[in-house]
Amino acid sequence: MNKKILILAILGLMTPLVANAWFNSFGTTGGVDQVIKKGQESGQISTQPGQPGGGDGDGNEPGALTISNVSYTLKDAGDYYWIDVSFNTNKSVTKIEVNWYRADGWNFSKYKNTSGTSHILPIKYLKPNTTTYFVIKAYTATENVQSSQYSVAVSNADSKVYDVYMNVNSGQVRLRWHYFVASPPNNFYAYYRKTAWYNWNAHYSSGDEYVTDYANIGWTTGDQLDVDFYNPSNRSETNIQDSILYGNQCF
Amino acid sequence: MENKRKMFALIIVLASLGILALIFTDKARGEEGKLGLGANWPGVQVRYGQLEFKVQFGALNTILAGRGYFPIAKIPVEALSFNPYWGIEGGYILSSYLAGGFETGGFAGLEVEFNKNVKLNADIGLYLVDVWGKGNVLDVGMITNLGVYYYF
Repeated sequence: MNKKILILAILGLMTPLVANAWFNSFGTTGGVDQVIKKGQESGQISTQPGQPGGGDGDGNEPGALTISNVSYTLKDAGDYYWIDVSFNTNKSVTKIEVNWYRADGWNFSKYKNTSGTSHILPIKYLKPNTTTYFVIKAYTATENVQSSQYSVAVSNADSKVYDVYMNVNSGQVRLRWHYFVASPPNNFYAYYRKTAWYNWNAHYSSGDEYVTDYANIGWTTGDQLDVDFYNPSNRSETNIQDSILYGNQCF
Repeated sequence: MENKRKMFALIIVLASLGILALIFTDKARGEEGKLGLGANWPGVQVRYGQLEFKVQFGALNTILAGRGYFPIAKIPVEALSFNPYWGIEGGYILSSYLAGGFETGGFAGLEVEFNKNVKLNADIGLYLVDVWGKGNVLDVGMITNLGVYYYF
């Protein structure tokens, strides 16, 4: 027992030497409070609650929200073109968004509520034979940031579905899309599913655009809609199967 | 951060082994655990036999901690009983200023047993506190804890 007490006493005398700064406290949380305050004074601990990684504008990293390592590659899915966009943020975010547009005036956007610092948000159904421009946005509870503008020249290819988006009107939705062919057919088959699959009456609109009738699906917060459409005369080149979350109109 | 996780996992494993050791020690002695509820400064705790789970609330943090007590002696003095003990503590630190943190330490103290239901204890010990956010802060210090219990 005497040997144990001696060892404990030596350790007790040595500990102030290895510690950053000795603390004395009544209650364990009081001691931890002291360590946190010392860390804040030395810049190792954030002074802003909810931002343990920093962002308090004191010059220490990671500081203000930033977007980095943006990677984007044009990909051919067979029946449509898409850009595989990935990027990083320097702190965990609550939402990411991408806005894309073209010289002809068409513009689209989509977002995803998410977390973490590594992100993927594909841009789908790009128009062939055009250049698509896009910017990325990221949000935390208190900050937001927008990237520089990027552009991708999309190849000229026939038999591609493009510009797929939804009109939303008081819980009703309808789907619109374009088919990039010289002489588009006049018919498409379409289906939707919120809880079960239903036939969605689709018809030719104008130019190379097609549209479904409005479906009264009670589109509301938290919903996901699955869509499936194709041209029966060329199903292998036109069969689109995708999902969309409430709040978005583009895929 | 990976090292932190490994260290935290090691603490959990060691704490689990300690808990098992205490349970088996209690059974070997034939001392059944008694459930005690109480308050500490500044928080609350529940104790079963020689094991305790406590929550403490600070200005900048909240601690979820486990304690293991090792009684040394039982010294009756008239209607009271003075019971010196030593023990170990390990806890996880929650704070909106931190990405994470833990504390661990060893302590020695004295329990005053007023009757079979009410006990008061006070101990002092050496504690290691490790917190991290933008960077890492590791510190050692002396902490005093005070608790009062009602045993059922």
